[in-house]
Amino acid sequence: MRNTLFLFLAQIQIFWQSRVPFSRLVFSFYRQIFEIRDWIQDANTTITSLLRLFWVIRFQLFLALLTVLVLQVTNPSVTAFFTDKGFRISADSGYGTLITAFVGVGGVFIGLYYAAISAIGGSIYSRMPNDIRDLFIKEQRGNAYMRLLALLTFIGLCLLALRTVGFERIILAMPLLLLGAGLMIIGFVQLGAGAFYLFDPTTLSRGLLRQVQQSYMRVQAGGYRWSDPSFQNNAYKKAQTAINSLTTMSEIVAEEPHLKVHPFAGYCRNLLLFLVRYEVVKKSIPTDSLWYAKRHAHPDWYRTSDTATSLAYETASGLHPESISDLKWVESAILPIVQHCLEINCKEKRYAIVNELLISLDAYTQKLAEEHQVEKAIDLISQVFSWCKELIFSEEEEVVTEEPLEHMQICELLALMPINALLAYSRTINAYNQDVIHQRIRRIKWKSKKSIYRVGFAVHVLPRLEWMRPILECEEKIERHLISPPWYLQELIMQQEAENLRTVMICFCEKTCELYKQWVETSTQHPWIKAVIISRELEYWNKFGHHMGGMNEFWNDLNSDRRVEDLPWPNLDTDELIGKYKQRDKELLELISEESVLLSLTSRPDSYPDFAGQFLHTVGEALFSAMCENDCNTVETLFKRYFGGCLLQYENLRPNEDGVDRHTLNNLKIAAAPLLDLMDISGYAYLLSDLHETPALKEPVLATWDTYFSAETEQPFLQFLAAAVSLSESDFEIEHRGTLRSRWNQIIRRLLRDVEREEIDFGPGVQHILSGSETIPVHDSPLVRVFANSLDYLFYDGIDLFIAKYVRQREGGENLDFGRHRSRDLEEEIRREENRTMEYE
Amino acid sequence: MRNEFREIPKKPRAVRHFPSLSNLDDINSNTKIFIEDIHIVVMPLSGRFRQTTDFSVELQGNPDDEPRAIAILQSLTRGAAHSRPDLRDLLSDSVNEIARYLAWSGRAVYEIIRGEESDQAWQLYSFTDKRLLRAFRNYIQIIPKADQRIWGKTHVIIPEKDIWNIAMPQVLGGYRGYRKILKKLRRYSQLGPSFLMNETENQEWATYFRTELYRTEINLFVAKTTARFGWPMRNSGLKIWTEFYMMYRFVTLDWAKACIREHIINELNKLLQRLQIDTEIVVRGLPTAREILKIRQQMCEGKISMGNASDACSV
Repeated sequence: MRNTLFLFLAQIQIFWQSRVPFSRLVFSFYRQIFEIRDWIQDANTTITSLLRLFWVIRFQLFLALLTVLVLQVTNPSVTAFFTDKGFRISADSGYGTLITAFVGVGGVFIGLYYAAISAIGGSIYSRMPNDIRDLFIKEQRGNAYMRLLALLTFIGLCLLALRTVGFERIILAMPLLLLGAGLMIIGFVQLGAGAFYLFDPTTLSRGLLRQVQQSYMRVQAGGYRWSDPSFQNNAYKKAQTAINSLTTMSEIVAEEPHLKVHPFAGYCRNLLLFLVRYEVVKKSIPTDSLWYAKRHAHPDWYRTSDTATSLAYETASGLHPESISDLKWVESAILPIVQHCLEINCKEKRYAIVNELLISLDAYTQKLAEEHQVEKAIDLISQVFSWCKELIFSEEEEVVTEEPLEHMQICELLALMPINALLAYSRTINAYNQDVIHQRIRRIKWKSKKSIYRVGFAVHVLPRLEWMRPILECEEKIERHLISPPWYLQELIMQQEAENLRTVMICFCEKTCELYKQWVETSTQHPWIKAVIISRELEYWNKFGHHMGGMNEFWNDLNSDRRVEDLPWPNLDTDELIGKYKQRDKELLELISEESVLLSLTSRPDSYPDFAGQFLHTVGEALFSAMCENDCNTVETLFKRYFGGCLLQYENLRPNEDGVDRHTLNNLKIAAAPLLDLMDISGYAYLLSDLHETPALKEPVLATWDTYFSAETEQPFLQFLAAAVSLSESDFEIEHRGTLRSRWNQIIRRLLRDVEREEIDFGPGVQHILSGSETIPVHDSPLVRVFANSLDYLFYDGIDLFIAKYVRQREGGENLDFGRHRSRDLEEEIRREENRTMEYE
Repeated sequence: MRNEFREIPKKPRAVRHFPSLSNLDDINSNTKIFIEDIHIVVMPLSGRFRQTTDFSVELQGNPDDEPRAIAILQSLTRGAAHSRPDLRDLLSDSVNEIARYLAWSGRAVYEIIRGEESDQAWQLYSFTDKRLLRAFRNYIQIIPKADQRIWGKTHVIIPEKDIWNIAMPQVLGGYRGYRKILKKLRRYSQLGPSFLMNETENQEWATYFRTELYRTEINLFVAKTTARFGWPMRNSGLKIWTEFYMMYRFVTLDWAKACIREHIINELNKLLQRLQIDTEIVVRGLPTAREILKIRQQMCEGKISMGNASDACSV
C-alpha cells in the first residue's frame, strides 16, 4: 500500500519538490528535540557533579551539623554553668547579622574562585587554542559549584532585603542557610584542592573524550536519530572537533617539560582505553554512517544501473561518485598521539613510561584480536615496534655484550604482543561456531534497521548484513514472509567469517613470522635482545601449534554443511600453513642452537635470563625428538652445536674453587649434568640408528665426538667423563636433570614396544609353569634386541650405551671406571646377542 | 507429417487485428520483457530437446481421427510449422504460439474453421480479442472506425460454437487477474516519471529527485506485481535480492509456465472432444507444476542445490 501510494505520488513533480522543504521541517523538529535532550543531559551532568561534590563532603557536613545539634541539645544544661562563670550571648546577634555573614562568605568565595581560575588561566591556558580554553572555562565541577554558590548568595540577599523592608523573620530559612553555608565552605575546600589539577590541561581530555563518546553513542544503532544522515554528520563533526582538540593538546603538552612526562603518558593511556571501548561499540555503527569520514570513489559505468546511466547520458553529467567510509578515522587520528608520546619517552629513556604505554597498547591489540580484527592488530604491533626501534636497536658497530635490562623488558613486551593477540583471538573463537551464528541470525528482525547491529556480529560481517537487510526486507514485502531460508543466510554469513578466518590464519602464520624474522634480523648486533625475541618467538610458535587446532576446528566447522554451490568460498591450505610454521620452527631451532653457543661465550649478569641454558635445553629436546622421528637432517644440523653448547655449559657451571666439600661437589654434579645429557643422547643415537635402520642418524654424532677427540687430548677427557658420571651417580639420590633423562628413557621404551615380537616355545614341560607366554623381540640389530627384551623396563640407558659402544672402543677407555651403577653387563649382553646372531646365521 | 486428407476450409469471418488499436510503442520495457519471459519456452523449443531427452508426445484414441487433430494443431502454428516432421515439434510450436497470445492479452481467441463440404472442423483461425463482445450465444466483433475501410465491414457476428476461447489459468489469476498485472506494469516507467524525462530532455537535472529511492520502490512494485508468476525481472546482479530468492523466482516462473502448458494441453484436449475428434494429446517427460512445487520445497529445505533445482524445473 505504502509502495503503491509512493509510486503514485512519485509521478507528480510537486511531490518531489515538496520533499526537500518537508525534510528540512522534519529535521528542524528533530533538531529541537535533540537540543532539548542535550540540555537535559547537560543539566543531568551538572546535578551529578553537585551530588558528587555533596557526596565527597558528606561526612564533614554531617559532622558540622551534628556538632551544632549536640551544642543545641546540651545548651540548656550548660547555659546556667556558663552564666554563672560570667559568659553572655549578645542580644543583637540576630537574624539579619547571620544572613549578612552568609552573603559575605558567598561573595568572598565567588571572588576567590575566579581569582584562582584567572591565575591558572593566565599561566597555563593563555597559550592554548580556543577550544581547549573553552574546556577549561566550562570545567564541569567548578561551574556547578559556582552556580550553586551564586544561587545561595542571592537567596541570602533576598532574605535580607525582605527583612529590611519589614517582613517577618523566616524560621525555615535558618536550617536552609545553615546547610547551604556548610556546602559553600566545606565544598570550597574540595574545589580549591581540585583547582590545582587544572594546572595540568590533560585532565580536561576526559571532557573531550566524553564528547567523542557521546557522539558515537548517538550514531550507535538505537541512538537518537541514529540512522538520520544529518545527525550522523553532526556527530562526526562534533567528534572531529574534539579529536582535533585532543591532537592540539597533545602537541602543546609534548612541548612542556613538566607535562610531557607523566601527564602526557596518562593522557595517552586514557586515549588507548577509549579506543578499547570504541572497538566494542564500532560493531553497532552502520558502516555507511556519516560518522565515518568519507572519500569518493567513482563507479564503473558498465556496472551501474540502467536508470542512473540513462539519466547521466541524457544530461551528459556523468555518474555521481560513491562515498566510501573510512572505518579507521578515529584510530588514525588518535594513534599518532600515542606514537608521539612513545617516541618522546623512548628518546628520553623513560623506561617505566614506555612500559606502561606498551602495556596499554598490548591491551588494545588484544581487544582488536578479540573483535576478529587480527590483521589490524598485527599491523599495529609492527608499527609499535618501529616506534621503539630507535631506542632498542641503536646502530652499533660491535656486538653489544651488555644491554640495559629495561631494553630487554621493552623488547619482551613487544615480542609478547603477538602471543597475547593470538590467545585473545583463540578465546574468542572457542566460544564461536556455526550454532552461535545460527542463533544470532534467528534473532535478527530483518524489518528493523537496528536489529543486525544488536546481535553481536563483528565489524567484518556488517557489510554483508547491511547488504542483506534491505534485500530481505524487500523479499518479505513481496512475498509477505521470508523466502531465503535460515541455512542460506547462515552460509552467506559464514562465507564472510571464513574469509576473515583465512586472513587471520595467514596473519598469525605468515605475517607474524615475517614480523619476528624482521625483529631478529634487526637485532644482529644485540645478542641479548635477539635472545629475548627468539625466546618469545619460540613461545609464540608453541602456542600457535596448540591453538592452530582450535582455528582448524573453526575452519572445518565453517566449511561443513555447505549447500550453496556457486558461492565463492575462500581457499585455505592448512597443510601449507602447518608446513610453513614447521619450517620456521626448524629455522628457529638452528638459530637457537647457534645463539646457545654464542651466549655461552658471553658472560651473563644475574639479572638477565639464562637464554643459553634455555636454548641448549630446547635444542637437546629437539635433537632427541628428531632422533626418535628418524630426522637425519635435523640431527646433522643441531648435534655439533649441541655438543659445543654442552661443553660450554659445563665450563660456565664448573665451580672455580678447588675442594672436596659438599657444596663444591654439588656444584660439580650440577656442572656435569649437560655432559651426562650429551652422553645420553649420543648413546641413544646408536640405538635409534639401529632401530630405524638408518646409519646416517648416528654418523654426525660419532663424527662430532671423533673430531673433538682428534683435537683434544683424548685420555684425560675420557677420564674426566668417567669421573663426571661416577660423581653424579655416587650418592643415593636422583642425579641432577635425572628426571629429564628418565623421560627420554620412557620415550625410548615406548618406541621399542613397537618392535615386532615372537613367542618363545619353551616346550610343554616348562610352558605350564609360566603364568603367560613369553616373547622376544625380532630385529636385525642385536642392540635393539637387547634393549627391547623387556616390555616393562629398560635396564640400560643412553649413557650405558655410549660407554659401551664408544668410550670402551677408544684407546684408554676400556678399563675406565664409571662408578658402581655403570657395570659392564651391557657390553656382555650385546656381545652375547651378537654371537647368537652369528650362530644363527 | 503433411496432412494429405485435408478438406478445403471455409473462409474465416473474424477480423484478425485492428491496426489502429495497436499500441506496441506505448508499452514500457518492463511489460514487454515480462510478456516475452512468460511465453518463451512454455514447451521446449522445436529442435532443442536435448535437455529433456525423455520428452514425448502421443496422440491416443481413434487413429482415423488423428489427421483432423494434426490439422487443428498445424493451424495453430505459424506458416513454417506445417512441414514439421515430428509431433513433438508440432505440439511445441502450437502450445508456444497459444502461450504467446495468452501472454500478450491474457486470452487467445480462435475461430473454428470448418470444411467447405462437411461440417467438420479442420482449422483454427486466431484473431484479436479487442472489441469482442459475447451476447446471446454469439461473439460480436466491433471494428473500429479507422479500420472499417481496411476490412470493409463494421462488425462481425460469429456463433459461439465456432469460437475457441482460452484464457490464463485460474491458478495464475485468470484473464482478469493477468490483465490487472499488465495494467499495473504499464503504469510506471522504470526510467523515471514523465516530468523527469522532460527535464532531462531540456538538459536540466532535477536535484530534488532521488533516483535510488525511485528505483527501489519501482523494483519493489514490479516484483510484488509479478510475484505470482515469479518473474525474475531479468535481474542478473544481486542488488535487488539474494541469489536464493532469484532462483526461487526462476523456479516459480518455471512453475507458472508449467501451469500454462498443462492448461493449454488440457484445453486443447477439451476442444478436440468438443469437435468430436476422438483423440487425446498425451505429453510425457516434462516437469509438471506439482513436481516443480515439490522441487521448490526441497530447494527451500536445502535438500537439493539451487542449480539442480533450476535444471530439474526448466524444459
